[in-house]
Amino acid sequence: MNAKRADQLATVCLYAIVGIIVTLLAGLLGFVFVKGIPQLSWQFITSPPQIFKEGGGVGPQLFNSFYLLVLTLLISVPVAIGAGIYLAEYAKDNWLVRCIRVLIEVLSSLPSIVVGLFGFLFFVLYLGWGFSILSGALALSVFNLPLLVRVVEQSISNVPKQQREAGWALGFSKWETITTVVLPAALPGIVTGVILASGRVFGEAAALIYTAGMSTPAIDFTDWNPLSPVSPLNPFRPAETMAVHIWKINGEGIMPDASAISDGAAALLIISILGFNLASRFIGRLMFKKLSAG
Amino acid sequence: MQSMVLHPAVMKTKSMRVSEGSGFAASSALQTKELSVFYGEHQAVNQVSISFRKQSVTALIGPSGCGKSTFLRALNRMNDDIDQCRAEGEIYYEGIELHSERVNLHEVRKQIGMVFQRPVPFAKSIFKNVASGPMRHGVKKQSELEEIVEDSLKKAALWDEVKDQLNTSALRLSGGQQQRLCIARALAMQPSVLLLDEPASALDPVSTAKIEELITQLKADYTIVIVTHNMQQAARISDETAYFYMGRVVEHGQTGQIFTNPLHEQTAHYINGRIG
Repeated sequence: MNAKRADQLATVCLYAIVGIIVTLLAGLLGFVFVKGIPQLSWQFITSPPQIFKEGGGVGPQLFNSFYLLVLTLLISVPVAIGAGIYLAEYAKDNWLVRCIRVLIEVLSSLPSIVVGLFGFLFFVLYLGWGFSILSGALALSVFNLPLLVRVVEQSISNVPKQQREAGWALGFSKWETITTVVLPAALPGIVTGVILASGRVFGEAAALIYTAGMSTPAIDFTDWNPLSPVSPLNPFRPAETMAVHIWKINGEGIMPDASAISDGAAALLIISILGFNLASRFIGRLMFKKLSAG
Repeated sequence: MQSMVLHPAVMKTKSMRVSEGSGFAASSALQTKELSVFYGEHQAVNQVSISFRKQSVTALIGPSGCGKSTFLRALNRMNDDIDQCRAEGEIYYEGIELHSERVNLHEVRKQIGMVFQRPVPFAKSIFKNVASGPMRHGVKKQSELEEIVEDSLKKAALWDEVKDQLNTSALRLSGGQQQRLCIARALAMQPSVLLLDEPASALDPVSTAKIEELITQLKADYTIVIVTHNMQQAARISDETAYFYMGRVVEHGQTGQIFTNPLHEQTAHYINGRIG
């Protein structure tokens, strides 16, 4: 076989593989959307679920998903930025740091159900927080951190060394160089990574089943005092998210329209995650533009 | 021996006094005594003793790898930040030995500014690029900062080109403008010495000409040490030239003499393009 034939063959094979992947994804998304989007309505998005009757919604679940995400990011982003700065700027290449890197790799491939069970044993039982948003947010932080740390480290390492030297040459200390020169330059990459990681956290179910729980108590959306037991902001209440809700009603939903609700919730979930992906591109590009133009 | 000129600003404590007998001459801004720099086992600079006259341009020339850039970076202790790199010997700035433990490294770099081979603007506005140095060193008032920025950009011959877009990103500027911005950024620190590491080698001929013109103007107020691979450039802009080879200074003297009547055959060979 000559080089030209081999080249043609490789091209055909690669196109075929890409075609299969695209068809698969399009089919999957199409299926979810075709079945789910007709179920979506303002009423569905805002009203609470019904246990025995038709016509329930996923309002609290949607809120829980976003609230858990915000708490998770509040916990994990600062830690990840600290760890990323350490690994990119301070860590020497010795056995301890290599150990840390291996541990982060392991942590990032930890099955989320294992993270969930750890959260159950530690936050829910040992610390006695029960099924709660806080337990869930901490479990999700454990789940989220390895990816975030790597994103931050990568973004910081991508800032050219000359930028640091230019900072030092102005009499900046190492820390001042990091805060005034390196971090601003790394910011677009960090923001993009955080939003992408958010999509993963938003759709996570297994880590939450045993930590944030599978129920949502009656909550009053007019009560924004985080200490009140009926407030949606109370971090010590159980909180079922969208992904967990889908899992639950498919297993034990007894409302007559369970499958319709599950379809609608699945579509809503995917639309939200799609939104995160689009937002990450848009905001990353916007920030880069701002840095290089504004 | 001349009397010593003290610049307490680089000292951590104002009471610090320099040891007598350092052999420091008041006409020189910067002087090294048997300065050696090592990368691990490799000796990049070998016992270089040289003095740089105030308000003059000294060109460091020599083939690649001869240690001239390493030597330049040793002068404001930039090599401190490189692992495995250490310096031996002495550097006197205004009579103060810069390796002394009582010297404030950040203050040293404020007074001995540096511009690199490639332009390295920060991902910030033009204004913030120039203002970040003075802000770090305690200038807080906006009006004062504006004054410093305007003054520095004027000195760097960039003001007229950017005065209407101070708040746009520095990354928008052309390479030559970026390099002049970096010079302005260094000038904003009000240094007395400027170290230039091949500042024009990444630029086009027009930008290079602008940088060279700028250097000859800046000479009136600053002591300038420039590393260059461009012989014509060294001949055009420098007052003194030092030829480096294998980590040593082979010859140091008036630029005119070095280029027309070098003492060493090796220097002549390099200048005529037979080494390098």
